[in-house]
Amino acid sequence: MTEDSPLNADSDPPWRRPPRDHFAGLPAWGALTESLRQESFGVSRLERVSAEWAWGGADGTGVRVAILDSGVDGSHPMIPRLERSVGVVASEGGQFSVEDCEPVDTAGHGTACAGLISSIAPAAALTSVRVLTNGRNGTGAGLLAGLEWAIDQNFDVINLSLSTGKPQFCLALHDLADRAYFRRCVLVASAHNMPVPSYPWRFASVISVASHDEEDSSVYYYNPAPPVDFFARGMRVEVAWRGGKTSRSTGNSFAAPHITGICARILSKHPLLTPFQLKSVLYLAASNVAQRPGGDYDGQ
Amino acid sequence: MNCAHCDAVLAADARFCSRCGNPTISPGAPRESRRTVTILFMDLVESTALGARFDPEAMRQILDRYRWAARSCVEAHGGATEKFIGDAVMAVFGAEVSHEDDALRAVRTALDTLAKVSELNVDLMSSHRVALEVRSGICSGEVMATINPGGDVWTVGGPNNIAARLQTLAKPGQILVDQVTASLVKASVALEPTGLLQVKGIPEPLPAWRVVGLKLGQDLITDSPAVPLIGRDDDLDGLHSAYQRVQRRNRPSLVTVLGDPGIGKSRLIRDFVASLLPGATVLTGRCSAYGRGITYKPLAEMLNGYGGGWASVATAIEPGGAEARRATDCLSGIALDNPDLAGEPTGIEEISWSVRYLLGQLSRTSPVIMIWEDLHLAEPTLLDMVDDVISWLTDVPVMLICVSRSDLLETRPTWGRGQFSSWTLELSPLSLAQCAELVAELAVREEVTAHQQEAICERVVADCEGNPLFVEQMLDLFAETGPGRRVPATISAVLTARLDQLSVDERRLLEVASVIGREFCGTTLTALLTADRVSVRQAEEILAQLVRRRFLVRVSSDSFRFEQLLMHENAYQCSPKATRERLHLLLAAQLARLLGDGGGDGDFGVQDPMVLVHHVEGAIFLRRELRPGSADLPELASQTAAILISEGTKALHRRDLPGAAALLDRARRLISADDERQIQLMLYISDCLSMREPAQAIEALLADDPEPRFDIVARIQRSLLELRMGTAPPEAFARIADQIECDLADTAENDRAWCRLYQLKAHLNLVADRYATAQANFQLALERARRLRDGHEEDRLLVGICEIAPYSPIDVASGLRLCAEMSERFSTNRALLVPVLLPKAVLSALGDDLAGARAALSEAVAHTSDLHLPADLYDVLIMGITALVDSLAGEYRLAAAGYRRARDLLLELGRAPQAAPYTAYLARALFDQGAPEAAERALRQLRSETRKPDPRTEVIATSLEARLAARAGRLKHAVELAAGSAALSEQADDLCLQGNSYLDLAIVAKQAGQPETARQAGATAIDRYRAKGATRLIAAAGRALDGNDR
Repeated sequence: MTEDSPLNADSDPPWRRPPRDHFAGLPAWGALTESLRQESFGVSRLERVSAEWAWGGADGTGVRVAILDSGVDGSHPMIPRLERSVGVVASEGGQFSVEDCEPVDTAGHGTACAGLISSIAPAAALTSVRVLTNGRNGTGAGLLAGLEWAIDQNFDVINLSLSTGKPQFCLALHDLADRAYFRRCVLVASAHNMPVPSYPWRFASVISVASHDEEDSSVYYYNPAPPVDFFARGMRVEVAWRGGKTSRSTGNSFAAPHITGICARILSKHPLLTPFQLKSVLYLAASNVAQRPGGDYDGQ
Repeated sequence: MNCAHCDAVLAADARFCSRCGNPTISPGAPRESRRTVTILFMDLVESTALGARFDPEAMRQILDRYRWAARSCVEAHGGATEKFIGDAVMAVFGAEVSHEDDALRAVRTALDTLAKVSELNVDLMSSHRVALEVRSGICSGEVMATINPGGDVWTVGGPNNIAARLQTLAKPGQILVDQVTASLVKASVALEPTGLLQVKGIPEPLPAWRVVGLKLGQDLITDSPAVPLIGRDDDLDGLHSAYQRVQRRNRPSLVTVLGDPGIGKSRLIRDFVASLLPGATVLTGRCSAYGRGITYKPLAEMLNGYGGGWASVATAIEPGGAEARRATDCLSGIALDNPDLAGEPTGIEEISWSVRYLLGQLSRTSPVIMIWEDLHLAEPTLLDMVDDVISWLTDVPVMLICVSRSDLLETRPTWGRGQFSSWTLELSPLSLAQCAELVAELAVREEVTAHQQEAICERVVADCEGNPLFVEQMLDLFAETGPGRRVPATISAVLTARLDQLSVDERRLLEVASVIGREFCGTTLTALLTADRVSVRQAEEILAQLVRRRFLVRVSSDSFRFEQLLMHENAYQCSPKATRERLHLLLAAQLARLLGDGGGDGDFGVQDPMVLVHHVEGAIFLRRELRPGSADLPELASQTAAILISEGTKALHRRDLPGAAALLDRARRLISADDERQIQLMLYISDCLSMREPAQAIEALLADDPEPRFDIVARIQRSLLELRMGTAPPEAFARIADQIECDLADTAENDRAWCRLYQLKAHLNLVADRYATAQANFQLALERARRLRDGHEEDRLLVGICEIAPYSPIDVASGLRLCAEMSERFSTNRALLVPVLLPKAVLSALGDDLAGARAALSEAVAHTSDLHLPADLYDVLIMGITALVDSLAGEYRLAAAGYRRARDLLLELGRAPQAAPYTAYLARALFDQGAPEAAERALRQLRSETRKPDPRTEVIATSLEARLAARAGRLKHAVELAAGSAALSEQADDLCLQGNSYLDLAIVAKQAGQPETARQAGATAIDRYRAKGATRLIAAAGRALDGNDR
C-alpha cells in the first residue's frame, strides 16, 4: 500500500467513514431518528433531468477517475497529464501491493480507454492503475488488490474494461463492488465480448456497458433487458494506441470509457449524486429515454 | 476419363479405347498426386567404422538384420519404404492414402525400430560383439507423390530434405521431428523442444522437437477437461434417460452416437460417464485402423481395463462352474492377446457367447456400460459380434454405446435398426453462439482479461462451423503462429483422410469444384469438366452421393455448396497446383467469352466480372509459385486489369479510398511494368492515399520503382504532395517545375506528365494567391486530361476550378454559372458535388443572395453526413465556408465561433500551417464583432505562432493591425500599415481581398484626416468589388465609407 493518509473521521462525509457503533436497543444498522437529530448531508436533487441538465457545460473538473487496466502511456499526444500512475506488484508470498510506476503501457489497451475518457471529460483527473500485468491479461489477485486500493483512494469513478471468468474471485469482487457502491465510488465495467459468465460487470452495484453499433460517440442507450445497463460506442472506435499511434478497435472495452467520461462530467456538475442517483441520471438522459417523453413503454 | 493415346472420351467401364484400340489404363502408368505426407529417415550411427571393423560378409549379415527390422516396423504401421540409401532407410506415410494419424504412425515406427534394434543388439553382442545405434528425423509436409505400378513410392518435396537433415542432427537413439509433425502428434507423443536448429541448405533456423515417448491412453482428440461441455445438454439428457431405462427395466439397450470427426462424440461420452453415480461398471475399448490382432483389440482393452485387470474379470466370472470356465478360457485368449490359447482356434460364435455370459455375470451386481469407440474402424467380425450380443442379450441391465463416424452407415446401412431399445444419436455442429462460447472458454485461459475484441476469435468461430476440435486446433495454431490463410495441419490431416476415402471420380469432382468456389453450379462444373476433357461418369449421381456423404449441401436444384469451409479450402489445396492453374484459366476464358457476349446466362451462370478477376488472379498466383522465375502473364491478365481499373475508378468516385487503392494496386500486378496504364494507376493510387494520408502517399511513391519514362510523372506527383505537406519552401518546387517544363517534350505521349505538371504549377500559384494564373494552369491541365480521355482527372480539375472561383478574377455571375454546370454534372456523385456547393455558397453570398448561400451550405452538410465523407477533411472546409458566409451576412459572432472551431480542429489534426489563415479570419471576425481586445489577442497569437505567414494571411493581419492602431489613436502608423497591406494585396489577384484592404485603408485614412487618400482608396475598393460582381461587398463598403468607423 502507499502512504496516503487514512480517512479523517471528522471531515469525511458519512459514506466514507468507518461503520459507526450500533445504537443500543435498536437492531443493528438502524438509527435513532426520533430522539437524535439527524446529521445533515448534501444532496444533489434530480429535477428535470435532461442531458443538458446532467452534463451540459461540464468537463469533468474536480472528478477523479481511476483506469484499472494495462497502464496508460503518459507521453501519448491524446493523453492529458496523469494525476498519478501506479501498478500492482506481486511480492514473494503471492500478495500484491500497489506502487507508483512510470506512465507506460505496453499493451495499448489502457491508453485507449484513458484517451476516450479524456475526449469526453477533458478536465477529469486521470490515474492509471495497472492491473493487467501480462499484456492484456492479468491475475485475479492483482485485480482485487488494484480495485481495493482504488476504492480506498476515494476515486469518484473507476473504469474497468476487463473481467474475470474465474468463479473463485466472484465473491471477493462482489464485496469490493458493494463497498465501492456504499463509498460513492462508481464502478463502470464493460461486459464480456463473448457470451460467457464473468465479473464484475454482471453485478447490480456496478454500471455495466456493452457496445452499440453506431459511429457516434455522444450517443448511448439504456438497455431495458439486463444484465447490461447501457450501450455506448464500441465498434470501430478510433482510439489512442501504443507508440503514440491511434488504432481502430472494437470491443465492449471501448464502450465503458464513454460512460465513464459521461459519469465524470455529470459528477463534476452534481458532485453529491450517489451511485444509485447517478445510474438514474444516466437512465433519464439516455438517448432512448430522454428523447422519448412519455415513452412507448410508459404505462404499458 | 480420356484416352491417354488419342484423347477420345472413354466409356465408363471401357478397358480399351473405342477409337484407337489402346488399353485405357496402361498397366505401367504411375499414379501421381499432390499430398501431405510424413517422411521418416533412419540411419545407423557410425556405420563407416563398422565397415572397417567387419568382414564384408559379416557386415552384410548385420545390415540385413537391421534393414529387415526397420522395414517390418515401417510396414506394420502402414508406411512404405521408399528407399535405402546406404544404411539409411527413408519411409513415407500417407503417400498412397492419407490417414489422419500418418505423423503418429511415423513416430511409432521410429520408436518400434529403436526397440527392435535394441532386441537385435542382444544377439549381435553375443555373435559379433557389436551394438547398433539408430538416429531418426521426421518431417511432414506437401510433396508430389508418385506410386509406380509395382507399388514403389517416389516423393519429391521439401519435407524429404528436412527429414534427412533432422536425422543427421539427431544424437544416437534420438528421434527429431519438425514443427508440423510436432503439432500433429503432440496429443499422443511426449515431446521436448530442442530450440532452433541451423539446417544445412535452409536459411532460417528451424524449430525442432525430440520425441520422449508415447503418452498412454490419449486419443487424437485432445483432452481439455477444464473446458465445460458446450451445447450438448440435450444429448447428455438423452444418454441419461437411456441409462435410466436400462436400470429400471433391467433390459439391454444399444445407443449409437454418430458424428463427424472432431464434433465431440468421445467428449460427450466421457462427460456422460463422469456424471454417472457410482455403481455402474464401465468397459471401454477403441477400434484401430491397423496393427496386429486388431479385430478383438477393443474387447481386449475392455477386459484389461476392468478395475483390477483381466485377473479380476476372471474372478468375477469364475464361480459359475463349467460355463464360466468356458467363457474364461475364451476371453482370456483375447485379453492375453492369444486367441488360440486353448489349442483350437476360437470361433466367433464362441466369443460372442462368452461376451454375453460375461455381461450377464457382471451386471448381476450393477448395470454395465460397454463403450465401443471408433466403431467405423471395426472389422466386420467385430461389428457382427456387437450386433449378435445386443440381439441375444435379454433381461440384463447393459448399455452398449457405439461411438462412430457416420461412415458406419456406409458399411452397415441398417445398423441398430430392428433392435429393441435401440437409439441413434447424431451430433450436430455447434451453433454460432455455442461456438463463440467455446472459443471464449478456450481463448481466455488467463484469470483476468481486457475486453478488446480479438479478430482471431471471430475468424475461428466463422471458419470452424461448429466443430469443437477444429476450434481448439485453430486457436492452438494461431496462438503459435498468428492467423494465417492455410488450414492447420491437424485439421488438414483429418480432412484429407476423409477425402481419401472417396472414389477417384468423387475426389476429382470435388477438387475441380473447389476451384470454382465454395458454392458452385452443377452445370458450371460439368461444363468445366468437359472443357478440361475430364470425363467423370454420371456427375449428377456423384454429386448426389457427395451430398449424402455430407461433403456438399444442395443449395438449390442445380447449385451446391461445400458443407465445411475448411473442407473446401482443403480440397483446393490437395489438388496439384498445375491443375488448379489450368482450371482457373479455363474458367476465366469461359467467363471472358460470356462477358464479351454481354454477360449472358449460359452454363457458367450469371456473370460478375469480379469472378473472372478472381480466377485470373488465382492462376497468376499459382503460376508464380510454380515458375517463380517467369514474369509472363496469361493472355487474360490485361483484360482482367481493365476490369479492376474500372471497379477501382468507380470506388474512387464513390470516395471509397482504401477500397479503390486496393483494387488499383491489384490491377498494377496484372499488367507488365512497361504498360502505359502503370503510370495512370500509380497516380490514382497516390490520389487515394493522399486524400487520407499525404505522408503515406509520398512514402508509397518513393518505394515505387517505375520504368524510367514514367519516372518524371512520379517526380511531379511527389512534388505536388510535398508542396501540400509543406516539406520544403514553395520556391524549391517551383524550380523543379521549371526544370521539368524545360526537359519535357510537348508530345501526346507526355500528356499525362503535362497534365500533372500544370497541376503542380496551379498549386504553386495558389500558394502565392495568384488565382488567375492558377485557373489558367487548371484549364491547361484540363485540356490534357480531355485528350487522355481520363474522366477521373477531368472531374478532379473541374472541381479544382470551381473551388477557386470565389477567389479568382472570374466574376460572381460566371462563377455561379460554372457551379451550376458542375452541380448538374456531379448530381449523381455527391462526393464531388460537395466541393462544388461550397464555392457556390460563397459566390451567392458575395452576390447578395444570402438565402441561396445558406441553402447551398445546408445541402453540402447533408450530403457530407449522408455519405460519411471523411470528417477531418470536410468538417474544416464546411466550418470555414460557413463562417465566411456568416461574416458576409454580418453575423460576426457566429463567424468568430466558426473560425475558432475550424482552427482548433486543424490544430487537433496536427496541421498548424493550415490553421494560420483561420486565426487571421478569427481575429478579423472578433474585431468586426466589436471585440477589439479579443481580436488583438488572436492577432498576437498568430504573430507568435507563425513566423512567415502566406500572403493572404499577411494582408488580412496587417489590415487588422492598421484598424487596431487607428483605434488606439496611432493614426499615422495605421495609415502606413493599411497602405502596406493594400500594396501587398496587389501581388495577389483576389479581387475581394484587394477590395477589403483598400477599404480598410480608406477608413483609417479618413480617421487620420487624409480625405484624398481615403477617397482614392475607397474608389479602388469599390472598383475591385465591382469587377468581381460582389454586390454585397459594394453595399457594405458604401455604408462603411459614409458612416463613422466603429
